[in-house]
Amino acid sequence: MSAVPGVCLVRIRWLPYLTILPVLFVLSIVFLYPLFQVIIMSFRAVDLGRPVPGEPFVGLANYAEMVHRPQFWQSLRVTVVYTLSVVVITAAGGLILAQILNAEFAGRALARTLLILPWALPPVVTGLVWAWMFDFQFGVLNYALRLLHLIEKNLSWMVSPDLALPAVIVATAWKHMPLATIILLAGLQSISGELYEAAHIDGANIVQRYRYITLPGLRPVLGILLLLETLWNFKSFAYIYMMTGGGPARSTESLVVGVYYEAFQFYKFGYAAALGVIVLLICVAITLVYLRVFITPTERS
Amino acid sequence: MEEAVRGRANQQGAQAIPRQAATARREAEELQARYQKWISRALLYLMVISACGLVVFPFYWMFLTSIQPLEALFRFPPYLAPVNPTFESYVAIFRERPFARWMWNSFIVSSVTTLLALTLGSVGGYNLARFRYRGKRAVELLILSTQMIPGVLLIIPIYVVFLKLGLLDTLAGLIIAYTTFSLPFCVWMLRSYFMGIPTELEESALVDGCTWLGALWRITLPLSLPALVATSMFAFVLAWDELIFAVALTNSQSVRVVSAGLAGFNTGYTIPTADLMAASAVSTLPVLLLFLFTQRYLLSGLTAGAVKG
Repeated sequence: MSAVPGVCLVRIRWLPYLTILPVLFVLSIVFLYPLFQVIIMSFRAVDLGRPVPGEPFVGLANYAEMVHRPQFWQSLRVTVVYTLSVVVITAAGGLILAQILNAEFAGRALARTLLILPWALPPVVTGLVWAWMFDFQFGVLNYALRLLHLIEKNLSWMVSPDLALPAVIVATAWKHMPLATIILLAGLQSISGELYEAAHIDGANIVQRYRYITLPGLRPVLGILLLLETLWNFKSFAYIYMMTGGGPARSTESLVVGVYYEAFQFYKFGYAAALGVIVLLICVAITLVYLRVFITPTERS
Repeated sequence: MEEAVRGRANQQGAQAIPRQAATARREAEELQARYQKWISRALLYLMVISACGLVVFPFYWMFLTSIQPLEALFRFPPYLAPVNPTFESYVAIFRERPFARWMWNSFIVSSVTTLLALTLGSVGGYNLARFRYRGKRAVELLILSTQMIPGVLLIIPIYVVFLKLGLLDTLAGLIIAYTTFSLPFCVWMLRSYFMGIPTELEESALVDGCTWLGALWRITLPLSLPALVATSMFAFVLAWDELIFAVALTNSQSVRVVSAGLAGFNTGYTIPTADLMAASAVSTLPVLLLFLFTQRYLLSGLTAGAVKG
């Protein structure tokens, strides 16, 4: 990568710094400064509902309260189950869809457009439509499942603690699959066809070709997809908020939904800040683990 | 001579049987291959059609629900096709709720966000693609690491700051938040795309007396149309879809955006399912249309960034 030609560099030395300034400025005032503020807040007693005079530093009191609340552990469990389920379903489904779209068939362009449509449906609307389809009394999904003789009588999806989370997982995976498909399809198309031909001549079967050509070829793309999906779902808000509101009885409340309720319903800002900092720490940990697993030392340099 | 002819005939006769057998075997193999090919074709189409069905059905169900009269809606088993379709719900959402206001607010917020994110993103992306300087690695790390920060964490301090600055419950507040949250992705995607454009073009423009800004505006940006379209789509959709900032930072109906409006729809004793689905459908329409018009750019623009990472 060559830099700017000499003419330019001689004339204005500070140009590189000047042009990155706007981005740095915006990121500092809306990312870095608030981040600094909220970390400080997590060590203070800040309660807008019952204001504490002077908002004193209380050390780790907010964090101590958190680990003593059963709701925190419940939320952590819900978030992990939700994230892992959506990531696995999305990646597996995306892989299958990408494989299908990579084949030659009549109407491929139309199929590609249709399969990407969920990407255009806003998460709020996705939640509303799926909640209506999962409706206990009038839902079309209960009807379909009864038609297929998978269930005997209507399941109370959204109002049962055991079924509400699976329902949200299905809706989220449905919405996320198109992006996974596009990204994996691009990955598939970047794998040279000659590799497959050579493998075919050497007598490799379809499983071997998949194991030794497709998956290694997809590795970089798959890695970034898994990381982004994990982070997005871990921080996801709209689906759970719209479909169950964290209920019934806070049984589907993820950490992020919990932060929202603690802050904007109970106005316990200090506690919410501490909860949010935990979410941040887990996201950082996820990223570091990913870098370890997916990026080999040669790629890192 | 005669012998030679007979000999050849014998030879042919001797070969005829295995040759016939070989032809028959080949035909059988061809038939089997064709049969297998036919089966795999049928299987492929079956998978394509069922996948498309699963993907499209929620859209159909949303639209169907929005045009059903109430008595056709709350029954089991549900009607799978329209019965006495009516567009009353589409009239009701505009008459009984500030739906037009919500849509307009969303449109303003998303458009301004897109414009700001694209401007800042182009300059930032160009900087990272073309310039070499001390501390560049730190800038890149900063931009990437913002992706780990959960939005919900930042809302708490942003709420406090906006409260002091009088930005709470304003569209400007939302625009500031959304621009920032879409910026890292915009910068990164444009950076990837710009890096794929040869620098020689710009260099010759600079030699011809163009400023760097002129070179960016006249050479690099026009060549980056797919990435610009994809980036704009991303910023617009991010702002249009966003919920948590919208419900936390705005309160009054006059500054509600459509996502927050839909989230607060279910207030009252009866659940207005048909109205809710009509409002959902209308709020999806701008994004859907944008998507269909920009689709061919999206694939090339998005994937260029995705594959190069």
